[in-house]
Amino acid sequence: MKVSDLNLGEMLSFKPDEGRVLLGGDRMLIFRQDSLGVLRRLLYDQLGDRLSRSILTHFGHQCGSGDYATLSANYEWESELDEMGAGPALHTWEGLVHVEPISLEFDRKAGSFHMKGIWRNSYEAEIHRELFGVGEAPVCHTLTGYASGWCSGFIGRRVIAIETKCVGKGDEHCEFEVRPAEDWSDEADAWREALDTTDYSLSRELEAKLAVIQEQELAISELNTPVMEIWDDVLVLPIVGVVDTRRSMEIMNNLLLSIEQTQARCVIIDVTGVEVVDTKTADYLLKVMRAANLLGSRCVLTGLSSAIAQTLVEIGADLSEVRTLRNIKEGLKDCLKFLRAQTRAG
Amino acid sequence: MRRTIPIIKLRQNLIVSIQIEMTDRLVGELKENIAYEVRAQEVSGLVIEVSAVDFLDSYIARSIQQIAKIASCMGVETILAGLDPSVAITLVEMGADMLGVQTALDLEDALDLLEERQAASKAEEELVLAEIYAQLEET
Repeated sequence: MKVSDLNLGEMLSFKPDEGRVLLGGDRMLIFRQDSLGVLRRLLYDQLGDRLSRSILTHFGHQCGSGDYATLSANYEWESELDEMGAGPALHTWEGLVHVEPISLEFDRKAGSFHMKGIWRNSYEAEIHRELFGVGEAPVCHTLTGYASGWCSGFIGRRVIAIETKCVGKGDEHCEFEVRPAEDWSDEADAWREALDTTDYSLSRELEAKLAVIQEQELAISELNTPVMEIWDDVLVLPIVGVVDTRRSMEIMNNLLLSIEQTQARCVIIDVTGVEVVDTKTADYLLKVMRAANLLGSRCVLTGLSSAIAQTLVEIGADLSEVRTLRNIKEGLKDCLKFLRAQTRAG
Repeated sequence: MRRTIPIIKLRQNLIVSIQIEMTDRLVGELKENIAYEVRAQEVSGLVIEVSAVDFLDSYIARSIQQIAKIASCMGVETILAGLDPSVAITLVEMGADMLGVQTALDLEDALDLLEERQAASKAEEELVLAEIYAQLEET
């Protein structure tokens, strides 16, 4: 069979009684171009440029390599040139693009391959321009994928098709060039990457990020409530960051445990690193101090920000039993005075 | 022109002298500003001077109490100075007395009071420090 004999109209068997269209034994599908446009827009919106490009390229690659496998299995070709030329011809018949080869050189035994050609009426450039307007980079990703897939199948090694001109970036027509992967230098990197990134997955990445966040949460919750003994009988509990109900609960447990262990008589709770608390947490903070008082420790609250001070006053918190001081320095002085007075008295 | 009440820092204290008629908006703003300044400045006392005020309603009276509480949260003591006798009587009759806020006759009196306390606190601090140094030298 020659390329000129190729007629997709005769090769396709329509089976309306089964709801199938077959090429050889393979089921083919016919879609509307605008619905593929919707799919494309969703891909780009949801997954971003890089991932969409990779997905489209893989889709095209399978079309190309699948077509090659079907055609070479079902038909006897007169020459290698006919076998190779069936690809561009089928691409054209399928209505995806009109292919005009400019040059084609190959040596199947040596594995060398070089092809250049022009694409007219690329369906993909049409869709892309309609959706996103004229851009700066080529957009025919399923077409380059198809060319890579077909030619790789034909030559038996990995070849990559790139697009040198594209209607999607304002050129009059699209132009493509195909070489073995090793023969390309960095100009084909974008196409190489699109074919390579099979193991990249957005959902996997999200899951990984989620796992990192959970780890960090755990790390933060372990780090966030150290209780330090800075003087005989004086504990300091510095609180930094956002205090929610869960954290204030941990803080309470931590502090009470430390008081029990060290039998400290004074506790300084420093909240310099806290900018805002909600009313519930402010209330909880006061409860922590009351509990510490019950254990027999004298509690001093230091470093309240003006926002927290206002919150405490607005919720009408009873501060009569709580000593609040300006900063941790004043807090320590106060505790030392208290301890001295106690020693004197005792 | 919008009028605001200036907050003046004098040595260890902040002084707020109210010489214009207080509105609810103004008193709310004053509360915010004092809270901010108390945090930002290294002070230990706050005097609110009200000798020029001849009328205080219950809302403003309560706001002054809140200011004192907010300052106290941040380790700063508040004294209300120069309360006009007629205002004092009105407040008592309304039941909105200034319980919880210390008062003084005038600004001078208030500053004396604060400085006295600061000096006493300082003296005690030095005693504690002396003892600590003594202990450290022993060990």
